[in-house]
Amino acid sequence: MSDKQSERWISQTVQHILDQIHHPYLHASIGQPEIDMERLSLLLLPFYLKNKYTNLDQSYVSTAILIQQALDTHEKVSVTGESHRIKQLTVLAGDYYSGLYYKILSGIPDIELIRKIAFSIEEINEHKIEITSAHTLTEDEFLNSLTKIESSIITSLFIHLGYDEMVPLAEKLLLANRLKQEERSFAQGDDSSLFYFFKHGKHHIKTSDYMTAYKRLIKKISREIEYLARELNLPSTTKNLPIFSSFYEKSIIYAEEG
Amino acid sequence: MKLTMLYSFLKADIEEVEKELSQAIHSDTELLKDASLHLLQAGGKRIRPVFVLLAAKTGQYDIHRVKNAAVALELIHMASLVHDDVIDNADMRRGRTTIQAEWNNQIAMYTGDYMFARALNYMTVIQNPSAHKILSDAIVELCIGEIAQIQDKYRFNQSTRDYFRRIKRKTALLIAVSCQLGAVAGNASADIQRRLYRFGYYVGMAYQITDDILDFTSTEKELGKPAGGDLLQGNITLPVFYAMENPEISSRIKKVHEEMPGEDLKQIIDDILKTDAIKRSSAISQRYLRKALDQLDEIPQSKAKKSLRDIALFIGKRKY
Repeated sequence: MSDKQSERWISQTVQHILDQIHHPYLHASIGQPEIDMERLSLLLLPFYLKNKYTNLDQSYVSTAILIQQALDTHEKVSVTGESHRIKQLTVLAGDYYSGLYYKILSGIPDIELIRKIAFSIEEINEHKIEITSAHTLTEDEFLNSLTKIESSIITSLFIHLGYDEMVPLAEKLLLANRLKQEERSFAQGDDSSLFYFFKHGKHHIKTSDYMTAYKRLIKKISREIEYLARELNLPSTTKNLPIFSSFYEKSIIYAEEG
Repeated sequence: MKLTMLYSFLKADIEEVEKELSQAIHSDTELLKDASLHLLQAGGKRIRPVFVLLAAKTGQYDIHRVKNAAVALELIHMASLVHDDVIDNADMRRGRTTIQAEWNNQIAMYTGDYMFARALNYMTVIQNPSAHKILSDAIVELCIGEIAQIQDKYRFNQSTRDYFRRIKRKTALLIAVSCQLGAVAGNASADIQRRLYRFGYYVGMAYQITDDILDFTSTEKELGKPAGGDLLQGNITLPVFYAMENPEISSRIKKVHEEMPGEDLKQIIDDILKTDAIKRSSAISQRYLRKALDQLDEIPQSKAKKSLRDIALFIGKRKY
């Protein structure tokens, strides 16, 4: 796999997704959804390794991004300060993206994947509610919930397509990304599930220890990512993928190509 | 007469669907289960499951298979209600507090998404790809219709074509698809599937037009919200189009805005009621109902066919 090829697959898929979700009024009002490039590049990873990416594969990858878009869009509904009309359209945009993913999978048709993805969405929403009651959770339970929230869709798809070996790495990468996002939100003074957990979790900690706890978690997960990447024997070219951008600096060891 | 009397022979099967609905929303996450139950226990007409079951009776009826489509349709409807309450900032539904009022927007969004996923899970028991194509197309159209409704608010220069397209997507499609999916799940002939789709579509159109008429002719007590609420929110419905043919009334209607005082709105409603707008809208609704009944002509006689006919007539006569 060359860098050019990976860029081409990414840009083709982004265009495909944007074509699917195109809705002039909706996007003029609430803005065009931003495609999560890190997540997209992770979804493409098994195809890079296989050096093959068909139109059907593209439909599957687009579906996973659309569902994530739907769930992420609904996350914005609780954000205060938006006008009533924007709130209304944000709810509907999420519903619209949900409908589109079902439409794509029905068109393939892949009823088994519809079932698996539906199960993932159920699981994700259960865990989203679980973490709102942080005081009852241990650190492992909290991290497990965050992992499921972030990775359930992608891991369902990987397992469905027979890429089971990618699942542990995908889970850790997405968890690490989420934790970093939480830290950014906290730094900006926004709501953060992680720091809320630090404060209210079963084994709550002092404010002065928040960053130490955060760094400990990131360090532990980064080490696990390093190990899993080495186990998978990933070629060095994958280090340029957006999903690895922040870990490459932390010296993940890749196998040499060839 | 009560609506449920019109399909009393389905009582045991409706109870089976109701039981399955309770199981469908079961979750180990207590809060999610409570929120879903909160809405389920508020009841509802369950008209979509009824249409699914009745339509399936025109084919090879197997409640254990058909109930999955019935439950899926009701869950999709319930999920949309939960999200609609967030959209409308509504505090009450069916005489109970809404999920967003009882908990918050976030819980309401999660519950709606969960119910939608449960619905798709139930649908996957139906392995016929065309059933999924039909339902997914309808869901996307439904969303486009809801977005269009917001886009068209206070847009007084829209056409009746915009209105009919909007109510088709907003209401008629899901009823049409309920009938069609019932027929598909019952393996009815392609001709019967088409006829039942059209039956549901016409009934749905008549139902929504009647709803739009009742917004002007019913009392606040009957509606559970102030009369003229749709117009106040900027929804231009069929009676409004007809009333706007009078230039004086039209110029007054064009001044309607969200913050309009109740007295001013009441004056406009009185003006609309003095025109033939309600009578003409009613005639259109009746025309849709006749078309719906025509679709049943070629379907063999059965208890189910009689119930479908009676429900259509009931909808045509409903007062609130």
